[in-house]
Amino acid sequence: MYSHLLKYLQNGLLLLLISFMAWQQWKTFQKYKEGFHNPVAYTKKYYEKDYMTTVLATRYEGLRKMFPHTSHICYIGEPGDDFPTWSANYSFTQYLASPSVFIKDKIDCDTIVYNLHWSIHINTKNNYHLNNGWHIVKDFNNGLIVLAR
Amino acid sequence: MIFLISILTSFLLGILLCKILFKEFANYAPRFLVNSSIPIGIGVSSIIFIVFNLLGVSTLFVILIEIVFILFLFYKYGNPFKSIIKNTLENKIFSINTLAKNPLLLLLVIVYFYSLLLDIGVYYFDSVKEPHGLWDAWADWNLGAKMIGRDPVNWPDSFHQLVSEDFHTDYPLLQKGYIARCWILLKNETVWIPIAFSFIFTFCAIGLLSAAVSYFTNKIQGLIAGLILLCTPFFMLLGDSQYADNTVGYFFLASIVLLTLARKDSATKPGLLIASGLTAGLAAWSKNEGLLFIVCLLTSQLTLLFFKNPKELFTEVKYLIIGMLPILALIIYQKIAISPPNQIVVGQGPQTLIKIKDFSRYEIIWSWYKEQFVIFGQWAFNPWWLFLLGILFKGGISIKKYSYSFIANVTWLILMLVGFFIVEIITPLDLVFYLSTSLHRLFAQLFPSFIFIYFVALKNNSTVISIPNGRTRKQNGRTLKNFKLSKIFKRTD
Repeated sequence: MYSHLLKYLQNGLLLLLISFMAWQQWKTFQKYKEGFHNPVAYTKKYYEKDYMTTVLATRYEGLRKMFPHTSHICYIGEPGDDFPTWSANYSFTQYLASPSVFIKDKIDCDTIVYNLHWSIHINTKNNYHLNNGWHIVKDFNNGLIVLAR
Repeated sequence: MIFLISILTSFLLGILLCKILFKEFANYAPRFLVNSSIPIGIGVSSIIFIVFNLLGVSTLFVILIEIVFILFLFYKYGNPFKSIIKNTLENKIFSINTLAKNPLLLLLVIVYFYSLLLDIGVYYFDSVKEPHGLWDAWADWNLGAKMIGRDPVNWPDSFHQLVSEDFHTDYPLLQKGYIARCWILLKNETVWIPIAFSFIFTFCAIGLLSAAVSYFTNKIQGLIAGLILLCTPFFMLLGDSQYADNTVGYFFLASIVLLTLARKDSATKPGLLIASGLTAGLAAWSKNEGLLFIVCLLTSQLTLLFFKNPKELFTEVKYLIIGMLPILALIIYQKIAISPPNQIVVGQGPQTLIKIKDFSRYEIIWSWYKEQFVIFGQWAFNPWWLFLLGILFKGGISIKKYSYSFIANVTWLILMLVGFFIVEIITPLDLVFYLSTSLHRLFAQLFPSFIFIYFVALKNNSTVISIPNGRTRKQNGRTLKNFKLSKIFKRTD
């Protein structure tokens, strides 16, 4: 009698488990229903439309081509950026313009990259580097400026 | 073409190595073999690539070396595919007759395959939206791969120059090395390589878990175990984010499964123990947590000193170490010669003692552990009660059958949690930031292994009898043919 009851309970548990899993996956399906309903349209809508591919890769393309081999370059970010924004822009630079190494805590390398994503241009009058022997080699007009000594 | 050959060589290498190390077992568990050999092949190929790259050998020549090695293995051990194909055909999951007679079983199989297809879709859709992966993927793993791929000569110096805190260039090189290897041979930095890499590890973890649980218990429990992982949204998210947590979690699982398999009966099995050591080494080659894994794995074996013949135990540990030693040597070289200093190691000093004495840190970490326990997995509903109900309905946990493995595996799991806890106590990073960005991923690394340990420990499992004589699978097959709903949880041996 007891073992019979236990078997029913065990089958009930299995049914409950399967129902729970199916429900969980139904919720997942609901979250992605746009894709499941029309995968081709979904792919066309989103593929290569992400921020990294559309905006950032284009922005850094010139810098990447300018340094195709490993170079050691000092990195100057946007003054006044909060830490997460500064850090994100520094990481984007390293990721998209590698294999060059961008050194963040140094200001006296022969080559320097300014990443002024917001102010876009260097203030030529009071810039430390321009007043101390560096000159602008290339201004990509998108906030990325390469200086050399 | 060369790229396709290089992928094939990785997979072949894995299949041959597993076939040699598992020998008879591989013949009777083709699903297990497939799900273990491909990731192991990728790991070994990554090691070969990095070693020869550091020696100044070109990537193309590395592939030639791999091909020569594969031909040698073929010559020495014969064609492994004959038996694999034959046994795959023989080992159908369930016959149609069985399914037709058992609606509950049919429902389980349908939900399993529905979940599998759904997760493949989810993986694809997330990858299309974020092809570079989430932050850690592009800023750590894919960045490292780009640096190796774009300058295969000077990358060690570049890695050393970068600060570990920003790009984690001190992390091991399995993922970075293999992706770079593919990009170099393809001459194209396509995002589909890291996407495919993470896909393999994510879905092989599910396949390996399911195959291993069905091998140790029965096919129904195997399906349930795989289904739990398939239905964990966070596990899929970690995969399509291209993080290395699923990679390291895969190797934790593989190592634990192989070790349990090696201890299935009293005879020492050097091949399986070496394979377990190899996968432990590959875990350490995937992520720094793998180093903690090795320490905990070896320490957990020491608990068996109270239960097992010490001589026998030391022989087992010896084979484990033999399996992981070459990889450990490479990791030591990488840490000394290539990596910048690790931020957690560098951050230690007089403050460490202050942190250890600061009990408020313990309280904070403990509260995070409790919270993660409740919200883990991003399930719509907390799943832990299912595990508790499982124990209740199955009449508890049995440690008789696989007692040595159970003791060692549970000790390992506890040691890992304690290890994570200690690292969190002494971390120089902001504690709450560190916990909020890492704890859920650390839990996810352990989750597949936890499911495996749980199912093998459950009472009333249908046990697998000795493998080499080949009777086992047939016996299982016969049992399943006569499957009835009322026998779902009944012993079938």
